[in-house]
Amino acid sequence: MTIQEAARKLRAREVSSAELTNESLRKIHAEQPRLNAFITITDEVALEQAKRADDDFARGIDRGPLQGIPYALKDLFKTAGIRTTGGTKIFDHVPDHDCVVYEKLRAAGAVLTGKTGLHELAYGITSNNPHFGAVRNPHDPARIPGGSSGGSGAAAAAGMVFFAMGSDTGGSIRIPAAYCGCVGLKPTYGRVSRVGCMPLGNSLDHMGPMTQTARDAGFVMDAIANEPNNGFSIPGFSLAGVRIGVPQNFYNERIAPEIEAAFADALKRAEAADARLVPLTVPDPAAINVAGRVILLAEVSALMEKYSSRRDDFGSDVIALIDQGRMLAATDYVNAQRYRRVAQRQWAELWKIVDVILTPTAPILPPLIGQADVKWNLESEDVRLATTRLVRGINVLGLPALSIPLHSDSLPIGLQIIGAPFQDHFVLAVGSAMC
Amino acid sequence: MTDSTNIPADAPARIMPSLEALEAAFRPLAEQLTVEDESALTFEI
Repeated sequence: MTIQEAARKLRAREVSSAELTNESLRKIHAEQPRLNAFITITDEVALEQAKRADDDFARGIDRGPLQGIPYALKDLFKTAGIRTTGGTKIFDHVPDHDCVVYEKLRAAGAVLTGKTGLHELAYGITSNNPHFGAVRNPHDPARIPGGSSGGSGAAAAAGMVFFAMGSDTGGSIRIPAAYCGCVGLKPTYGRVSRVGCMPLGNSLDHMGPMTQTARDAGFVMDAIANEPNNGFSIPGFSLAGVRIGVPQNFYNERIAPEIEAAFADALKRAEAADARLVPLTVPDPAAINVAGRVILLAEVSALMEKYSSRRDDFGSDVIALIDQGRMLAATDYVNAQRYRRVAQRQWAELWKIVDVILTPTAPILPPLIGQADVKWNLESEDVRLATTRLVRGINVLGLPALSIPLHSDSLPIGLQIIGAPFQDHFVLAVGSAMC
Repeated sequence: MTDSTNIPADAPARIMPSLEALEAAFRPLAEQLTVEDESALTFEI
């Protein structure tokens, strides 16, 4: 059931928030041994918030589509009185204050069922966490759910909750959306407050929703965006006349055959719906990725400097990245930020000729837990670099980008829809029309 | 200034190949920049 359907049933008194919440908690507890999607399950908080939502409905108070809807937060969104870990020993604590997103979701009447598992510090894409165990893919528990918002992706895709919040620094919402088979939106940089969320890369972090439909992601954005209720959810959108950019470089290289076929099929469907496909050469995504890696390494290591005496408390993959960032030249960081502005100006030209750009979200199907490399004929590629290859650059540019599931007979496949700055609502509308 | 004394002796050997590859990939980009290009250190959109 989607948020849209549940919201209608709640208002028709066909179901109560308490019933939805009990069912959500039942699924979470039932799936926890198989998927390990949660670090903390907040049964008591959930039932209390559900009661409040039902009481409000009874009194005629309607706070909008999220009232009474069960959801989850990635465990780096601070919640007063509820354990928050960031997926690491370093930050495992019970905060005395809430992050802004949780405040907004409480005000919207949504029901918090728990805090989801993630890659340590959100610094990786496997969600194979050395402290809290591996989060597993709901379609095949031997495979990763992607990350770093792996628990949120698994919870949303498996229907444990109606939506889950994630964070995205180099693809960490869109990757688990693609690998688990749900919708994930990385909004325009700065559009959703990061206050009270544990940071990773200060100039790359974005907070956003993971849902079952693009329309539902719009309902969540209406509640959490810095400018509330400004129409992120557009009903009945038509693709007719929409100019869809189809990259002829980079985004079509080293793509698994199943993904190539699903992507080609999506383009055919868009064309059949009277969208205009515009072949495009996209300015240097490989270079933008390199700049993004330089920026991320430096920003994370700067944040973690304070904890450099606690090396043994970090997982081996994370400490290796922190070490790299500490050895990076300061001039490289400065120049990477300067290059970012150049790339932004180059991409701004694209929005004069297209409305959105479509690419696969990930070039590979969800890898097995523990898999280190992917093979391309004679060449092999680090799974982490392959997984982030098509998404990382969009964080560098700060653009809104959505991943929606494509039809697949095997494992989930994601379609990435990239838009111009602040065109989040348009990206969501195109996503709704293509679902 | 970074105190790198607590980075283990084997760390550079372990991490430098990928860091050097990244720096090598980045160098041509940095060389493209002119002094007229943006000097801002914060990101805005």
